[in-house]
Formats: sequence, structure tokens, C-alpha cells
Amino acid sequence: MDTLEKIMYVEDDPDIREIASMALEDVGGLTVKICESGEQALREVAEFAPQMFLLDVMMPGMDGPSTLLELKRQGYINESTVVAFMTAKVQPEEVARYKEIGAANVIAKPFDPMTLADDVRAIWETFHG
Amino acid sequence: MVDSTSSQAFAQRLETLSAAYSKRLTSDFERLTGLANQLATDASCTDSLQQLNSLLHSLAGSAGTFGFENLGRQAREHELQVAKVLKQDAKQSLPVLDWISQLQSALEVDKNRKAVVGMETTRLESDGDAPSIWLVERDVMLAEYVAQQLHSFGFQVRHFSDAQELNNDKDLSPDLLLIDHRATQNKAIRENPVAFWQTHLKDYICPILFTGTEESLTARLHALRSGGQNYFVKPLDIIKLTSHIAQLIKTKDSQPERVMIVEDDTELAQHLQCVLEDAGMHVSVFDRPEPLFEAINDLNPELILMDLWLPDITGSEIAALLGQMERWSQIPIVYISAESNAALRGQALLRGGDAFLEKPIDTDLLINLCRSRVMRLRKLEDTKNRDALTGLLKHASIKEALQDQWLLAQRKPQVFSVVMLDIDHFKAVNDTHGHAVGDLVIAAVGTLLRQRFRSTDKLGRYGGEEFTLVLIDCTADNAASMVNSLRGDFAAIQFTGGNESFSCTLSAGVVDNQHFPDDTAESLLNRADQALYQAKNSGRNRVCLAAD
Repeated sequence: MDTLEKIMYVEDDPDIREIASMALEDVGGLTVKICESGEQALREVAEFAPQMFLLDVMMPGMDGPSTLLELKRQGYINESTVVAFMTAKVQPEEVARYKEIGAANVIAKPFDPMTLADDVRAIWETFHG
Repeated sequence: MVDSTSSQAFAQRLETLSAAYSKRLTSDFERLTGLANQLATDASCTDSLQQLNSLLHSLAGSAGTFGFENLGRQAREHELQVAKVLKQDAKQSLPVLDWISQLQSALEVDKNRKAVVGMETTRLESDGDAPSIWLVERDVMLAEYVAQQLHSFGFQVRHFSDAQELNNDKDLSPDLLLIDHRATQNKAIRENPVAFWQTHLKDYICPILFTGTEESLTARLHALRSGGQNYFVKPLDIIKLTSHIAQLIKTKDSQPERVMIVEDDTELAQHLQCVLEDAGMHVSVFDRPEPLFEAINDLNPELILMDLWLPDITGSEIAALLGQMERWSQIPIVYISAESNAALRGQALLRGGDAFLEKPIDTDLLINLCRSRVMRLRKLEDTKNRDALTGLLKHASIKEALQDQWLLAQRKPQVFSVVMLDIDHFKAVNDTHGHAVGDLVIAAVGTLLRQRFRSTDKLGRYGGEEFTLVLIDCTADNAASMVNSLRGDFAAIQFTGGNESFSCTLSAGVVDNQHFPDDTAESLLNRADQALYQAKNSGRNRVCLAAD
């Protein structure tokens, strides 16, 4: 199993982007590409070539699920790419629906900035374990 | 991954982010208020509902990350309710304004836990009898902070973010208005702020205080002309502000003015008595000077209204006699006379006396004159007798008040209690946090006491961190239960010294005159002190009754 290094994070809320990037880079030691929209993610994904995607579910314009579907359609998701959603709505049926469209797991918002990187790694390891 | 220096830097960045997020919450609350207003006019506006939904959603998802867990949870609940309504064909209207206050309370709880600055408290429940303050303030975060501080001193607070909202609620009236002098979007305020406030505040008879960032004579003068009784410069000194507010509200429901009338014209005397009694004053009438001098010590007047010419004696002679008696040398005297001779009037004023009222008497002028003279006298007495830090009676005055009460009870049986109260481990507060913080704790006890007890009760700072209360018509059991509840409230107040927040407790000893009918005032005080000693010895933070 490869070690998780590069992660692409898509989130529309600037404050959350800022604190999550601290949580993933400074606390977690990951290399993070931050995008403010699904559209930006699609533009940057080829160059960055992430091992994992972290997608906010509810965003204006393209939301998390449609971003994932488009990433898939354009061929950026292979069998070792891990996708996780972030959302404040974590009802079991929603989690099930996200898993159906290809998410490995869902991270509940609000997240704890001190443990976010651990949660992300745990999802990575479970997926590859 | 993170070494200790960079973890410190990380914590700092986290703190900075959290502060920035707090600022953003202010604009989020403003947007919420805007949406609430839109939905108030059109409850089924899908666009507003969608905006509301996404705003609440983003709060629900982000607040917790920055340490505002309760706010996030609360937003989540409301988000679900909006989502439900969005699915309805006939959209029910949503109580968004109520939600905003719930969200603000939740935010307050979160901020308490974070213990940001100053003094905070856990007491948030509203009390039906509590005096109500309407706060007009654009800055939602500041408003929340001020509201919460005022809550801890027993006020109810209602927040308006724009002065124009005040006029939506004509039926209710507050006990006090606290207004940021620029709190409106209305353009009229830029052209003529005084006219703007005069128009918007004309229906309010309660005391009005203005706040603002400018420290200038113009700002103060504008506040005064706009109908404000005072102007407080931001950043607000909350302890000073609450103490001022407590005093203003107390003055309003304080005792009626006590007036003596000396007038030999019975009809005129009755007329004056009627007018002043209608205005809520206590009035006693005399037609000769002798009974006046007999009764004056019992009636304890605050103003004397008398005819300049009485049979066998002139008003100015009475004034001169009163001036010779130390206790009455400062009492305001108002003359009634048909005399328009300036020289005679001047002579009368010279021998004592404050003002002239010409017959026929203008009743409005009479009432205003009496009120303002009594108010001035009370202020003068207050500066003489009251401790500046707490607004309570000074050592000598509270002992005198106890003695007076005891004397009164000897003549006319009446139960009263004496309480000695002391802040626990106060020396440690001073040693750890410094005297400035210690003073804040003492001032908080003062404000809390003045809020909690009636204006007829005598409350004093006995010295240092020790307080004495004389509670009228109150048995020791009742006194103990009141002081116990005060003890609980005080323990809930969070003080901040440096970066550390702390709370303090009180101990008290209680006695009443019923259990010890043979005691002097002095020995009652000693018994209360012994009971306090017992409370201290049995572990502090408690109230003990004096043993038989």
C-alpha cells in the first residue's frame, strides 16, 4: 500500500478551507491542493494528480456528488483513488447514497482540526487495508 | 509531525482564525436578520428560504470547527426545519427572529466556555420581573457580549440591530434604552443625528443611554440633545455601565419624595398637597411652625415648601432656624409668595431657601422644581454616604442606618434582619490577579446586592470585602434564603484575571431582632458577625443563622 501524500480538497467556505489546510498540512504533514469549487478541481486535477479527494457535499454550482461523477467520467478516479465526502448531514441513508456513488467514507462536519488528518488517514488505510 | 514550537505557532494561528471567524459570524447574523425581515413580509419566498437554508447549513458545518459547538448544533436544527418547509407546497411561516436569539444564546454559551475577556457568567435564563433593557447596537457580537453581561446582573435584554426596528413595537416599553449613537442604516442620521434620535425616541419615557466610539464634547452634546442621560465611550467598561444602569433603574422605582408644606391658607395648602400627591410624593401639611419643628425628625422631609409670609413669623426666619440645626441645614426650601419685589426675594434667598414660586402657582413648575431639588439632595447624600466602588452605604452610614432601624423597631414593632457577608479567600484573588481585578469582584457584589434587594433595605460595604445588610420586614429565615440564592448567583459569575477565569464564593451570617428582642443594634451586628465566623469555619460558601 502506498503512503498517503497528496490530497485534493474541495470546499467553498473560505474559513473552513483555511483551517482544514492547517489541519491537513501543518498537523497532518500532507501535501494538499485546495480548490474552492468543483470546477476548479476539474481544472487542476490533471496537474496535481492526487491520491485522494476530500469533497464538501453542499456547494454552490457543482456540488460534491456531481464533482465526483464528473471526475469519474473524465477518468481521474482509478481503483486506488480514495474519495471521501465532508458534510454536516450524516444520516445513515445519506452515507449509504454517497458510498453507492463511490465514496469510501464520510467525514462529519464540524470536524476537529486536531484530528482531521488522522480521520483522513484512517479512511485511506481502511480502503487499502 | 508537529514539534512544540510549531505547535505553539499552530495554536496561535488557530486562535487568529477563530477570531476571524467570530467577525464573520457578525455578518452572518446580520444576513440572518435581513432574511428574517424578508420572510416576515413574504413567508413563502423560495429564494429567501434557500438562502436561509444554505446560511444555516454553512454555520452548522463550520461553527463547531472553530469552537462554537452549540451554535453549530442549533443552526443544524433550524436548517432541518427550513429544509422541511422548502418541500412544502403551502409554506408555513418560520419564527426566524426567535431562532436568531436562540442562536445567539448558543453562541454565548460557546463563548463562555472559551472565556474570552472580562467577566462572564452562566446565568442566562430570563426572569419575568427583571428590569428590561433594550439594546440598539449594529455589532451583533458586541450586542451579545453586552446582553450576556447585563443578564448576569439580573436584567433582561432585547436586542435591535437598527433603531428603525424600535418603532415596530410601540406597545411594549423597556425600563432603559442603551443605544449605539450610530445604530441605523437610515440616511437621515448623517444629516442631523439629533433630529433623527429625537424623532425615534420621542415616545420613550425611560432613561436613555448612548454609546459610541468617539470621545468628544460634540458626541456627548449630541447624546444629551438626543434625549440621552449619559454617553459611554467604547470599549465599554461593563462594570461601570451596569452599576450606572442599576442606579438609574433603582432611582426610577425608589421611594417617593417626602415634602412638608407650611402654609396658613388652608385651601392653597390642600391644593398643593393634591398636586404633589398626584405626582407620587408623600406630603404633610402644617399651618404653623411649632408642629413642624416637633414633627420634622419623624417625617424626615427632603424638601420644605412654605409661604414667605406666615402669621407671626416669616418663611425666611423658619429657613434661618432650620439652617442652625445641623441635620436640616442642607434641606431644600421653596418659597411660595405673591411677592414680586426683587429686593425682598433676594433677601429671603440669602437667609436660606432655594427658589421662589409666585402665586398663582404653575403646577408643572411646582412638581418639576420639587423633583429636581429632591434629586439633587439625594445625589448629594449619596456622594457623602456611599462607597464609590460599590454604590453601597459606607461603614459609618450603614451602622447609622442599622441604629435608625433598631430605634424605629423599639417604637413600632417591626421585624428586621442583619446580615454580615464576606467574599471567601479574597486575599488570594488580590494576590493572584491584582487589586484591579479584586476591585472588580467587590464592585460585582455591590451591583448584585443593589439588584437583588429592595430600595427600602439598607445595603452597606462594611469594609474591604465585607458587607452589611439591614433587611426590613424580613425574618432571619427569609433573609437566609434570599442570601443563599444570591450566593448561588455570585458563584456562577466568571471573572477573568489575565488569561485565567475564576469564580468566587460568599459566606454570610444572619440574625433578626425577633429572636433577640433584648439586643442592641451593636449586639445584633456582633451576632451576625459571629454567625459569619461560623460559616467561614464550617467550610465557607454558606449561610449560617445566629445561634440562640
